Amino acid sequence: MYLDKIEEKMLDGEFGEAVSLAMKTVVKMGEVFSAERLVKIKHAHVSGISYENIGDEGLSFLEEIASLGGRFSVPTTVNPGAMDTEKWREMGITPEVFEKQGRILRAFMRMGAKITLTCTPYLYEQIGFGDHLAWSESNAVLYANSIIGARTNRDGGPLALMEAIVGRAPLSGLHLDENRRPTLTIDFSISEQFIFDNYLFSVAGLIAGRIAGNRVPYVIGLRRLNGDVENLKLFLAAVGASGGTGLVLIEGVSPEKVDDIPSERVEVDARMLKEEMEKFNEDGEGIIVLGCPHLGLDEVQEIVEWFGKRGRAKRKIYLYTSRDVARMYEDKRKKLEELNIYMFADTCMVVSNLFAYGSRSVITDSGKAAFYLSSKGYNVSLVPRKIILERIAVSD
Amino acid sequence: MRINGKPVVEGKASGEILFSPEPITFFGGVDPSSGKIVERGHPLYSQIIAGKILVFPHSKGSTVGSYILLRLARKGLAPAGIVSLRPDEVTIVGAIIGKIPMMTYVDINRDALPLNGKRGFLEVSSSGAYLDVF
Repeated sequence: MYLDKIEEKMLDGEFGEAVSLAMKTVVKMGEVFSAERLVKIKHAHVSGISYENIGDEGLSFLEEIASLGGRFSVPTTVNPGAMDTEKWREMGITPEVFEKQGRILRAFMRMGAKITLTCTPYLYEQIGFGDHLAWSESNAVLYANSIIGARTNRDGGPLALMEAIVGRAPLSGLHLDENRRPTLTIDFSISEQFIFDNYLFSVAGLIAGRIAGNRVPYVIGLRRLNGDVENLKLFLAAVGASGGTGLVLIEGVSPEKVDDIPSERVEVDARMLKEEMEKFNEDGEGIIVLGCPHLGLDEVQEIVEWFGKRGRAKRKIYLYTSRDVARMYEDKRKKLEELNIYMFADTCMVVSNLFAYGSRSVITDSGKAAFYLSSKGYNVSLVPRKIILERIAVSD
Repeated sequence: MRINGKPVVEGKASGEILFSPEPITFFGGVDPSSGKIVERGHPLYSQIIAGKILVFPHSKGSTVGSYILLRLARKGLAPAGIVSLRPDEVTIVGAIIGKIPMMTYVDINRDALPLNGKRGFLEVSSSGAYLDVF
């Protein structure tokens, strides 16, 4: 693989041990996947920062990298962790675990990360068409590639960390034009009306992800989602949960030009959607959890205003969002609790231990949350947000 | 018998060969405090990967798996060497940061592999990589 002079110096240790280890990792990935060279990235988003997942060894590894001079050479943000860093006591987190999580975040800060702790960096960071990125977190990868037209592989957390340090990624996979062409058409035309009438974007996403697997699909029938950030987030997050792809080209939505529509075509009809819904059709008991991916400010406003007008929700509603949004509601906490709404930042229902502070039975509008929570043994009802707000949240 | 592969992490390792016909999930599928495979229904369920030459198709599941390999390595519970049929990011990054000798792109038949339990010697250098089976 070709390396320029600076890159060779990085590899040889002229910029310190941390840079050398990071470059070794990135180069090895490039070699194994036959990249011709590296490409400079504009931004990195790193997952795998929860102490509950990476443990003491992950923590000491990150502290070592920071001590050895590891610094992010591009703007770098971080994914949510296992707790709200302010309301952690309410989540059943021990002071020991909180302290270890704090050390992980301090290591990231030393390396220069912006401690955003949100899975929706695309709502906040300046990312544009054609930008090369090193992002982990599947819903963010899918949004950046499919909606913005930026270019990132579906990296893992540790790899994105290394790429952030060297500011480069192997020029392979979705960084290259030839791998961004669709090879399969997923056609929702015959179920389009059914999907839009019933708000089945999470359900459609779970099906599309499973059909696509690791291939790039061209999706027909969802053009009305253009500009609908809320439902595009839900659709793509579900794709990322059930499938391995990092790019979905949606007709009328994705900015990338598609020259040849793949002839291999899978039609999705209403019966397939109904079958998928049956998988997450619990009795509709339990608490309501919204915010996978994290809710944007407008979504939080809409939900809070709804209950402001209608009065207290009949069930507990947990909202998960970024700390930027949560901060705007800091002084309204009492008012939200009167409405039976509880807001958490820096974490979500999937990566925190929801059972410890919530319930084993949940109602959600997120196909991704439904997918992972049910695999963790929760009873999950997957219901569109509109129906949750209009019916479930206001009845006993 | 000698099996050739593409080098990933340089080094030498010897140990008993543990062959998996199925992919391995490191995060959630391997207990980081014992090196035991805990994924239910896995053909290697309850087997220990520590100290073995692990031969498997590739990993699956969360990329936190790289940190599980690191955790195992720092506790002395990692495989002595890793041989994968095709490369995957989780295993490669985990082997690099855990300093576990590894090669990939090995051309062997998944089904008819009488490797299990035999002694293996893995040598990976920048110019090439091989596994000798005794």
